[in-house]
Amino acid sequence: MKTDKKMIFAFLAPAVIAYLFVSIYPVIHSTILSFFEVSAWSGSEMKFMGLNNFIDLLQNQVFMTSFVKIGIIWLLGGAGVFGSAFAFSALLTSGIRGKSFFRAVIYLPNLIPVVAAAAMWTQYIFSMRFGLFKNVFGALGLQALANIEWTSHGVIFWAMLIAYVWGGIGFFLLIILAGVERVPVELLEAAKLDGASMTQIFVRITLPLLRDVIRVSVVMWSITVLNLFAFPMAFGQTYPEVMTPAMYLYQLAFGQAGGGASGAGANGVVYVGRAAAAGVILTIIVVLIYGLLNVVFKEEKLEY
Amino acid sequence: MNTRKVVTLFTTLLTLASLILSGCAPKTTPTPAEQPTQAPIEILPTAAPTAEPVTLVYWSMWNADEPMGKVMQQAIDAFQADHPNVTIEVTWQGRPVRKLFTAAIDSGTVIDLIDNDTGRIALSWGDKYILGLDSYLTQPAIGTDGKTVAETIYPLLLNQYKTAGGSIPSVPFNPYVNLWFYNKAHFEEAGVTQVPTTFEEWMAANEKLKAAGHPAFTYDADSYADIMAGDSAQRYVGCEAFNAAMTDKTGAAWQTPAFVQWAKDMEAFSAYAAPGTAANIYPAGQQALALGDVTMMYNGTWMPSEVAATAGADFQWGGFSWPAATGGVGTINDYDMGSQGMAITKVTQHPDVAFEFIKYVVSKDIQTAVTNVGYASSLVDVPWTGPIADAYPLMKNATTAYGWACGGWDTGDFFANDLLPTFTDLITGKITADAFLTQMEEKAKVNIK
Repeated sequence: MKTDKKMIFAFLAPAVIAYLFVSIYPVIHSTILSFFEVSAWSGSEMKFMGLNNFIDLLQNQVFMTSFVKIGIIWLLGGAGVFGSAFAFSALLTSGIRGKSFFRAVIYLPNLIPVVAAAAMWTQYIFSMRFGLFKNVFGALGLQALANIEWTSHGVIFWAMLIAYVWGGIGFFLLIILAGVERVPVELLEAAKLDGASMTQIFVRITLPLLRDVIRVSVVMWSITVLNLFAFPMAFGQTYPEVMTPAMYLYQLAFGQAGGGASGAGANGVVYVGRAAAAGVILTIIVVLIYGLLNVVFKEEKLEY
Repeated sequence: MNTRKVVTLFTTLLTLASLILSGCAPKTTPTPAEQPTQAPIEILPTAAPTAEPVTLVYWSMWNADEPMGKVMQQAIDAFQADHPNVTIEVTWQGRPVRKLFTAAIDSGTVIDLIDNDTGRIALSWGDKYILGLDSYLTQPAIGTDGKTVAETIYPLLLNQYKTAGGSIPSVPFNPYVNLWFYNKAHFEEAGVTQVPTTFEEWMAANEKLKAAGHPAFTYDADSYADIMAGDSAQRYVGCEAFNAAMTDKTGAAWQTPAFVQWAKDMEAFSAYAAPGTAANIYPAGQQALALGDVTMMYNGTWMPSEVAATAGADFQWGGFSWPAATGGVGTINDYDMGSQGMAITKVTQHPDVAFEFIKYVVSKDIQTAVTNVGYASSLVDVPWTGPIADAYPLMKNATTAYGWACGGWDTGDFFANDLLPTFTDLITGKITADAFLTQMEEKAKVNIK
């Protein structure tokens, strides 16, 4: 079919122009702001700071620690999410009855609004008064576990991690499940006939054939974790332990979380320029990670 | 790399960048529980400042369906009934108005009236956006026997925050004061006949409560650790020394006698914390109080309204000031307090009419309506009622007002990231006073730049 390039351009132009406008403008503007001291969202004088915003951030213990938290969430949370997703996908493709039902149930957490999910975990599941964990562990005679103050300082990060993993499994299960279901049954049966164990089949056949799916999943997981914001905000925004880079960026841009229900006492000082610098740093890190993952998981077209 | 790959890469990078650089959402403030509102109010009108048709744009921090929103609507209705030539166009922006206001003004939006925290109005918005009201405050108030507006309002609230230029920029109409709320039935059952005024009396009362099987206190560790730390410290060291310690990178303050006494007393007090207090995420702590699981909780005067549905009408609310420390700087007449205030913007064309409306908001009838929905009034002569009735005489006797959590939030990251978690460990009995002081000294040396 002959391609009319003008028509292609005409049809694509509105969307492309709109996209570029809403994408390029904020990126450029944020990058410019990152080199200035800006103390208000509007009407503030801009003072050129050179690289000082970046230097301040890189020397800021809270900001740098937030990346350590993100690293832990990426690694341990990722292990939890992908481990569970693979386990469930193995279960759901094993011929179990009610597959659709179980798949829907596992995906359900993704349909719950973040704030509601966080409230469910902090006010009910982790509650020291009538919480699920307290009652279940108590009934099992595991008093040490039943007495853990999950949402207290010192523990809340791990509590949030558990809840976050719970919320992430369903989404990645669907992606992995779709990939697993594409693996030809003949290959698996042939391996079985040749005497391969379930582990060998998974490691030698299923995993290699899921290379593209895993690559996409890891990229999505990485970007999601690096931008993690709403869940820890709803979970315990005043706890420095759950502070992520995006939360810190938000605090710089819009002020501290504290000040009580009326907001009284918060002095309203915002650091727009430094927040923009934090955004630029986050962007650079995401781009680097994206590039790294592209190197690690080289795109190969698998046909089977 | 061919062109298609370059375009793909560029688009991908752009998408990533835009995702990161544009993802923020406003935070919200918990909405108080629903309360019944009153019948329409009749206010004796004052002389209208103008007969010309006037429209005032009012950006409200309330939502239309919350109790204070309904009271503000009553004020609008009463004002418009008395001034047929004036229309008040209200936009119920809710709490996010504080983030929208200055940007809206800067972009040319005409707003005549705004309400918000009096501290924010004075210190953040100040002379650039807000009109000084000093000359207006000498006008006669409505329904208060010839007193001026300034004379009807608690001086501590009216004068608490001024702009950099020295003006009073807002009229307080919905104040709060922090105090210990308690369950009177528990006190009676335990044989505590008087509210404690000193730390020693308080500890004796706590011991009686413990003997009666009632955990003495709790709080929401994620939301109110700040006032627990700041307001307790005020009694021992005062806000000035407290804030100085938040920025002292030598950490020397933490070994001075006043700080040591504060820590020791808080360690002793921690023996009466309800189990699980350290794990309370708002509103678990105040729910525990309302459910009768615990006897006391330190909070602002809005709190009983928030838990009204849980506590029920038969809950016997009491209140007392944070007890004084032996030899301490603060007294029981010093309070962490503040208010929502009404302000007039600098872009208004009708400041006289706008202030006339403010006079309606702080009229005796509207302020009585405020107390009828469970909140505090800023008028000296309007008693606070219901669950906050005990707070009214305390407020009338108050001699000093200080800002939220002794002003700790204004000192920098050390307050939020180091003091609050460590103080929570102390007051919930996880660490000793000595450990607290040592940790704070070490953290100050490392983390304060």
